[in-house]
Amino acid sequence: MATTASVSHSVAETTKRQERSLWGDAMRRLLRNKAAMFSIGIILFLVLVAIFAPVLAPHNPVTQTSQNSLRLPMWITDSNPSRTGKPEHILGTDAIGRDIFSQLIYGSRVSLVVGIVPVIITSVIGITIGLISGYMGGPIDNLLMRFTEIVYAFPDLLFVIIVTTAFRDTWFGSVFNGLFLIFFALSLTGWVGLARLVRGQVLSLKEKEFIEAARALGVPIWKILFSHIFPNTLAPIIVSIAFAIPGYAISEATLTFLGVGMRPSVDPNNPLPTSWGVMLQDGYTNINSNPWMILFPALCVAMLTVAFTFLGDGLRDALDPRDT
Amino acid sequence: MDLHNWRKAFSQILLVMFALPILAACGGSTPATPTDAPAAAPTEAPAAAEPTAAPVAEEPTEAPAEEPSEATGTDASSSEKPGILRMNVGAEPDNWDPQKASFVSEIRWIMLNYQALMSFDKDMNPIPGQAESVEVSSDGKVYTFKLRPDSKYSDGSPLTAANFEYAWKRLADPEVAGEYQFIGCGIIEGFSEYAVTTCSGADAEELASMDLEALREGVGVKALDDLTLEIRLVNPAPYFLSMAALWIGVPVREQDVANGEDWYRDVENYIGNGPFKMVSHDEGSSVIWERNEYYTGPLGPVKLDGIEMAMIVDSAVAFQAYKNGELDVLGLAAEDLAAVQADPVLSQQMVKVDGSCAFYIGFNTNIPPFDNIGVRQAFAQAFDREAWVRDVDQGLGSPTQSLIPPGFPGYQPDLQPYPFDPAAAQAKLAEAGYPGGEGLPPIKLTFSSTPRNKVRFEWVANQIKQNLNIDVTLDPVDPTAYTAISKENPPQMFYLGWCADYPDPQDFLTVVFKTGGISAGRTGYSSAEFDALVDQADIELDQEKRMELYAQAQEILVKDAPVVFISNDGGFLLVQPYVTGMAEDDLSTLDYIPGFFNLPNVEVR
Repeated sequence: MATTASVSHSVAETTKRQERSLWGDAMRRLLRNKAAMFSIGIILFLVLVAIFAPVLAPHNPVTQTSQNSLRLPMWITDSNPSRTGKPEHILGTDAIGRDIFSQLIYGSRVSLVVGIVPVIITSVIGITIGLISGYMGGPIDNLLMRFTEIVYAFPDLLFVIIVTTAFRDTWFGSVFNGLFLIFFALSLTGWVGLARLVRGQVLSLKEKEFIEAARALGVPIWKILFSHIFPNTLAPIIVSIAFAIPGYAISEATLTFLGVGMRPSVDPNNPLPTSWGVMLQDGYTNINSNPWMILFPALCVAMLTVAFTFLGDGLRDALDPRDT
Repeated sequence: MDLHNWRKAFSQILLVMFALPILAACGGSTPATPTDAPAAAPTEAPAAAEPTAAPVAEEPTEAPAEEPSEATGTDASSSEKPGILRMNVGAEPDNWDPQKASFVSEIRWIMLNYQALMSFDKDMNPIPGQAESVEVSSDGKVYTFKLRPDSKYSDGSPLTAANFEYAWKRLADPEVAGEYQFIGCGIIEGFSEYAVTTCSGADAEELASMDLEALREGVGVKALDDLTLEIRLVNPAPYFLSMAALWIGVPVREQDVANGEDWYRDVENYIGNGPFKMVSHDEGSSVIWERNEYYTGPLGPVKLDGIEMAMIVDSAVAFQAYKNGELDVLGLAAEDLAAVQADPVLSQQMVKVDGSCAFYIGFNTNIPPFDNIGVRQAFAQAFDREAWVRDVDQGLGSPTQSLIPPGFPGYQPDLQPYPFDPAAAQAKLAEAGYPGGEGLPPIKLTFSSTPRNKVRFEWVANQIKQNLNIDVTLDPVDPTAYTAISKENPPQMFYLGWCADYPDPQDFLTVVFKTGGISAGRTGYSSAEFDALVDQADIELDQEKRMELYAQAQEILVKDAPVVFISNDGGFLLVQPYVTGMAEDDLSTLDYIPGFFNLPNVEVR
């Protein structure tokens, strides 16, 4: 409990062995977890791919080439010369001759961005509401929690579909090919779980002696909340965030697959031209003629999801104070 | 976010990891009704027929195919149900009341259940149907139909000319006001006066003040005796015999219609004089037809014992059913063509079908920049139609620069004023006042949001970007919303189509592009010159002169470019080897089911 050291460690007895902080312990446990480390590797890899997409992609993902439709991956030979695999298109092409490998590379951008941006927004909302609600108690708590429960009761995917459908024709519905609207819609319902989690933590923490001491010393409320209580709730928050990211990435794929997600774009300079969800949808349409088209984006989505899930698992084990 | 969300996330992972590939394995394209030789149908709207979509633009969309060999799990020599033709019709139709229907899927049922006065032969010429013979007066304005003497309904009750009189008057009834009511306006005597809401846009209030009974009597359709029906026209209409072969005037019985607005939904009420009778209808699931033993028309004697129609919306599932031998005939989708061609068994079961439709990109000519004819012409020249057919339609269909498709009277193979030429297109755009596309307002291309359409319009936007350097925003909208939008409040650019009802230029030029016509209304196109030409041609009796007038009209239409004509359809059916009577030569582009006009020779062994 590094940040509260000034209060709790001032009377600590000196020990011979080197001091071990909770975060240090957690880090050690995490490093020992092979699955989690492997996941971090995959995530870093995807982040690099997303950043360096223009360098890595052999083609522009929106460039259409004629007489090059539904080409199979390069290792497949077909009797039809216009469909047989070609080294220029490692994973083949889609229905209008766009390179699938390049689309996959660019698609990683959307999946990561859509995984991370809503998480940031929901974390800010969820943590703030949770902290205030838990610490203030009384009517404020009552009000905020009832509101949270109302939002919690919405079937979220349905709600997101309604919001995206309703707003897609407005100006902010077309910002970033409609991605902004997806962020917005996902964030609207996504914060409730976190708010309840944080509130629960705060309820137990605020009765602790060090908080009482802080209050007795006249520390202002906002400082108690953010410097003393918040750091102690971080562990479960981090775990829940790690689990939330793949959820959002999948929501994007689901929405786009259902036709209410990203808008298609043919602008060769668009930094976010396509997503794995878009590719799943395209692949599903052409599944009989080129089944590979749906396989690759499906594998990528699965890889991203599994990586974040293992990382979340690893973090939970690592941050659990009972397991020392 | 904790456990609850973790579980949710996990279930979603499972969904994507397992469910998707599995569902996908039985894969799919846009759900759609089968192609079966695009039945003569009113057609306006998005290609890639959406299940819900508007007056159909049926498109060769259906039935995928899969991996080679061992594909057909059936014994190729005989059907599991000999004598029964099994086919898929896609989604449940909305309304198969003959005087109200307009979708291909609805008309299919009507034409199986009823026989019109006339019918078509395989070459689209009108031939006598329930009428045994027809006489046309020398001025071309009075048609006298003689019914077949032993005419009966499928329940054995007699069919008389009075039944036809009732049906034609019902077509004109302003209280029925079906989608196809417009077709009689200005053609049949007294029709426009009675069908006032459709023909002259009267509102309900005006209607209430009219003596409808008298107006009904004024409609020029009259049963002279039990077997003789006289129809009097306002002007000579050389295509009237073809109109008499349509579903619009089939003899519904007054006693059936009296059972309420949804009378046709009850099989007991749906009694007709067609080659088949509907014996059961399981909504959203199946329709069973039996041969009508009392049928006397030109499509008999029918060899088939019956027809079983499945309503499989997911074309991938339908394809699987075909491969399992549960369906005898199926339309083939463009996206699955490659797979079928690669399969040694299935590729032998492909039967080519000619199309009857034209597809085009429409402009709203009332709002900038498409109120400028130069801009429209520039766009017309900026499309590589060959590439469209090759890449987007996978070679099904053919490129076109005019409305009337090949094989139909009035087709002008030499009418090609807009060869693909980006440089010329850019020059034209500059001439129109937008050099290099500068100064153009933002352009939005609106389309019905289906996966198949998305690819099509990405292609279109890419053409405009590449060839004119104009950025077009793609605007996918919900399929149902699209129908409403394109009717009420047309967007800047959108996709339309029209399929033949009968083989006459009037059905294309007048019906679709005369001021207020089906596509003219949506694009805001109105040309006095064009209207005058088609009005004159519609009533011209000299066939040669008539075609000449239509040709001039089509040239004006193409020059004015309210729409950019892109392609004609065409496609393939998959037909099981034990089905006879559905070879390429047996099919007509007007077929309501595959081989409809060859019904006496259709057999399932």
